[in-house]
Amino acid sequence: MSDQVGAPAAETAKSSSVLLVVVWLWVTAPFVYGIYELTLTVRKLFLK
Amino acid sequence: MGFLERSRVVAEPGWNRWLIPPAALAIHFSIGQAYAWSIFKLPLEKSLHISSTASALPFQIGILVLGLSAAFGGTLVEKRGPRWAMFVALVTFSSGFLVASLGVATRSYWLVVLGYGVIGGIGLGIGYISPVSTLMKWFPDRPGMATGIAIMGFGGGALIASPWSASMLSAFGADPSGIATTFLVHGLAYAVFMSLGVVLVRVPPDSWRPTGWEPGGDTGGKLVTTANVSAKNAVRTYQFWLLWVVLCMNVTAGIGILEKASPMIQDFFRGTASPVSATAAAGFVALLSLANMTGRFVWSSVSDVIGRRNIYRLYLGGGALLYLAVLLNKSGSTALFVVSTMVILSFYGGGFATVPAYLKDLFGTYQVGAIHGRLLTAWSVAGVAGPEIVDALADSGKKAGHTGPDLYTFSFGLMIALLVVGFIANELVRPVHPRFHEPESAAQIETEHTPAEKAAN
Repeated sequence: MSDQVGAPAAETAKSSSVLLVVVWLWVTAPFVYGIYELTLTVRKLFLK
Repeated sequence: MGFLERSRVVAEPGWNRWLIPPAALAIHFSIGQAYAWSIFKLPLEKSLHISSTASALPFQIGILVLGLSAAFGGTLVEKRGPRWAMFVALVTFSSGFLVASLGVATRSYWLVVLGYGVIGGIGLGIGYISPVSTLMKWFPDRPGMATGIAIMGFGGGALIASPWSASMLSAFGADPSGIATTFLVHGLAYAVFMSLGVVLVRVPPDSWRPTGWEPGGDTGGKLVTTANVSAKNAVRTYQFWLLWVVLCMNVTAGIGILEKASPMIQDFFRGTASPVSATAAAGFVALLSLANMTGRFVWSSVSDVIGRRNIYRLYLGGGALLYLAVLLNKSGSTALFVVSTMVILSFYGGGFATVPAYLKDLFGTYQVGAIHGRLLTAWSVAGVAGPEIVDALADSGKKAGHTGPDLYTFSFGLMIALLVVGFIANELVRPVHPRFHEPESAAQIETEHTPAEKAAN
């Protein structure tokens, strides 16, 4: 299943992949930080 | 403002649809900060010499304005497009923090309410609905998953903001100057973070479809329409109001646990062989947040496979049974209590995340963002009514001399009844009568065909 609009040129496909990585990192980096902090809090439930 | 015009955001050839979820997440992770407002409550109370009720007001006004701006701004969002909507959300949400910063710096409480509650609240409402219809146009084959990602972001926003805001208050100080600086940094940082969404968002060319996917082949049977209904007509259908009841009941039932989570788990196991400390209860609250967030993505993705009506049967029917299990587990297993409440909270999150796809099934994608905005008034009602009901029942239980799990017997029973009402409402949903459908030509004109769109096809 194609996830793209039309058929991209090879150069466009490459830059699109780079863009995909950058933008997903942009949003997942703070999310990973939030999950890490959450796990520290959750541990308090089990460490009595 | 040509950059923001709808005609300027049509995807060029080669644009990948997986670039759209990060655009949506950049907005939802930011506005999800609202649920971390409690971090600021105590510092504000000490700095501005205000009561606990007063320190909660900016958040409450924010949620109220969220519902109102989503309901009244939805049609404009559909007309002007997602980039315009995300830009408005960026400007209002960020400037809300800046105005609140000024308010704290000048010791003006009402400026904080105006900034965070009113101005920021507009950003919450417009931002919440801004990516919904765009995501469903890009993912017509998996609308539940697509909107689930975005709405999961709203749950995840608090996970990010809670530790971040707390560490900033530690760094700058919890005095007026420190809080003002913290608000200022929040406003600027969120503006930068949300700008990704504004720059990245695109709408697909009108006739674009994922390769191999054809309209009408979805799970969900006859409830899924290929026709379109306008927001104005949607609120005239009984199906809209049935879904309003479904959402309102599901949210109220979830808030029943969410709002009292910490004291509830301590009450349930007080005097037993395994009492729960206040510190452990904080871990329980964190687990519920995780379940709420995960449910948004997981259950809405499952709805793409088993259909929207079936997933709400699970949320509402399964939720009622789990509440019953918790009631019957008085002073019993901590694990059963924790797991049951986590699943209930995952259903609560799932209910939020799946409803845009349910609306799309019934009313089409034409003005689904605007219809979703109007439906969010159910959230506003549940957000006010749910905590009031639980608090009032718990207080009356205390006055009657009840202790431990008995404090919650009546409120849990009420939650089961509300879920049953929601379950029945879900069962009554039928396809929308064709008299409400838009003529094909009208729906086409609204999407504003442009030469760029035609070229991209």
